[in-house]
Amino acid sequence: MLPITVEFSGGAELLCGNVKKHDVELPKQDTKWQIRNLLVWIKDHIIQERPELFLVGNTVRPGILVLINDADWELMGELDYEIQEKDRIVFISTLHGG
Amino acid sequence: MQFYINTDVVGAKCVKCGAPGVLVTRIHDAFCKSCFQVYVVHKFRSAIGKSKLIRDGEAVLVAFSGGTNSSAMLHLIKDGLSLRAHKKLRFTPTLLHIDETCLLGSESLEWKVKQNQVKNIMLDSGFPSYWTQLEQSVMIQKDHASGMSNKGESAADYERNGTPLLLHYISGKSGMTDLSLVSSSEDAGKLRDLVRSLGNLTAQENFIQNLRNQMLVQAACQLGFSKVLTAENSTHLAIRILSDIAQGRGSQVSLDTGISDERNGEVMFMRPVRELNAKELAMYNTVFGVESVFIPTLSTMTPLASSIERLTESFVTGLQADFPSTVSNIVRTSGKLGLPDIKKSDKCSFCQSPLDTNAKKNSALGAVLFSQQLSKVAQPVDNFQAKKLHTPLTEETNQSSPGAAHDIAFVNLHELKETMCYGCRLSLHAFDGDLSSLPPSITKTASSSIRERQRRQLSGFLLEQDYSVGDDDSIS
Repeated sequence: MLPITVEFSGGAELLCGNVKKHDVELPKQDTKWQIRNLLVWIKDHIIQERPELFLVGNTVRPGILVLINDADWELMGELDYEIQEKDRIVFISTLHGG
Repeated sequence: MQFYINTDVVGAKCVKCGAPGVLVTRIHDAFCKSCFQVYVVHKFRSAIGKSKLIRDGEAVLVAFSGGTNSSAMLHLIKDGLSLRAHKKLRFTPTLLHIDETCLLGSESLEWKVKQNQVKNIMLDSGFPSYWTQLEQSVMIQKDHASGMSNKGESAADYERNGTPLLLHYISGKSGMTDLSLVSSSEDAGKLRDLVRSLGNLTAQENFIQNLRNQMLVQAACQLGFSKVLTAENSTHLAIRILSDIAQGRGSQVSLDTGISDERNGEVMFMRPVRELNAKELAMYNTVFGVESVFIPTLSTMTPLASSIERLTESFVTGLQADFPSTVSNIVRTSGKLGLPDIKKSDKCSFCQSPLDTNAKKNSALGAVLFSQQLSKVAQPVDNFQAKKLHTPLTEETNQSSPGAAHDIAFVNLHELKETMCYGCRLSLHAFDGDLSSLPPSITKTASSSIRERQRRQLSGFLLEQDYSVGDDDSIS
C-alpha cells in the first residue's frame, strides 16, 4: 500500500463530490506507481462525474495545474514521475468556472 | 497529444539563482520561490508603471470577486503598499465585491460559507470594502447626464437622479445576515428569469459580463472613483480576444483586452495583471499561501462546448499546453490593433462600446439584416410576436422603478437593438422575455439615444428647409 494525499482546488473539487482533500492508499501493483497510473486511478475511484472535465486523453485537461509536493509537475517529469510514500499531489483548475 | 516532451526541465534549477526550482513558467524557465516572487511583482508593477495612468495618491476601486486572479491581485497590491516593498505603490485602494450567487439560484449553506470567506478576505486586507449584488442591476438607474459628470456626488443627489446602487460597507461587526439584506429575493428571481430568457449560454455569459461592468461603473461613479482595477490574466485575455472575434465583437477587442478601457466615460478600467498568465497567478497563490474562493459560474460543470467562450478556452489552453507561447502571441498581436474612436462615435446602449453598426449596405452586417428581414416576411407567425414586442412600456409595466417610467416610453425591441453594437444585438437575438425585465439602465440609455437620433434627423430636416431647398437626397 502507498499512502498519499490528493487535493483538488480551483473548481476541480466539484468533480469529486466537493471534497478538496483525499487521503488515499494506492493498492500494490507490480510496476512502480507513476502519475500516469494515478490519473487513471483517480478517474476510477475519486472522480464522481464528468471525467472528461478532468482527463483529456491520458493526461489532465489543459488548464489544470499539477503540483507534486508543492512543486510544478513539469520539474518532476510530469506523467513519468514515480510516486513516493506520503506524496502530496495537488490539482488546481485555472479554468473559468472550474 | 503531446508534441514534445520537455525533458530538460526535469529537476531544473532556478534560472536566476540556481536554487531548486518550484515551477516552470515562460517557455521552460524554472524559478525558485523568491525569484518567482520578484518576477511576478515586477510584471505587476511594470504594468502599472508603464501605463502611467494612476496619479500619485489617487484612490482606485478594486473589483474583487474572491477568485484566484483577484485574490492574487489584492495580495500584490497589499504587498506593494506595505513598507517592505522598496518602492511603494502610490494609490489607495477600495475593494468592491459583486455577489453573483443569485444567478445560480441556490441559497444554500455552502454559499453562505463562500460569501463569508470572501468577506473575511476583504476584511483581512484592511482596505475599505463594499459589497453589492448583481441582482440590483434590475432596479438601478443610471443617469449619464448628471451621474457621470459629478464625481463624489452624495447619495441624496443620486436619489433625485434615479435609484442608487445599494453598497454595503463591510466592517468587522456586521454579521453574515446583513449581506443578504441588501436586496430582495424577488430581484434575484427577476434577474434569473431575464438571464434565462436570453436563450443560449454564450449570450448569457456575455450579458452578465456587460452587466457586471456596468455595475462597476455605476458603483465607481457613486463612490467617486475614476479608475477600476480588474484582474484579467493574459490567458483570460487571449480567450477573450478569440471569443470576442467569434461573437462579432471584433471592433471591441482592443478595449476589452488592453491595459486600459476608457469606453465608460469618466470611469476607466485598468488591468494590472494582464501580463501574467493563469498558471503564474495560480502558482503565486499556492506558493505564497494566498487565500482565494472558488466562485462557480453558469458554465461550471457544463460540457466543454457549452458556450463560445468555454469552447475557446479549451482551444487556447489546449494549444498553450503544447506551445507555451500561444497566449502571449495572441495577446501581443491584439495589442497592435488600433483603438476605435471613442469620443466621436455613438455608444452601444448596453456595453458602451463605440457603435460598429453604421456599416455600408454591402457589408456583412447589411447582409445579415437583409436576410433577417426576408425571413420575417416569410413567417406570418411573427406578426404576433412583433405585436408583443411592440407593446410600449407604460407605467404599469415599470412599476418597480417609478422614477424613470416616463423616460422609457415607447422602446421596442427593434428600436432597442438599433442602439446597440453588433455583439450586443447578437446576445439579445434569442431574447424572448418582456422588455420591461431588462435593466432600466439599458432601456433608459436606449430611449435617450433614440430620442437623440430623432432630434438629429429632425434638425437635419429643418436645416434642409432653411438652407438648401430643392436638394432632397439627403433627407432620406
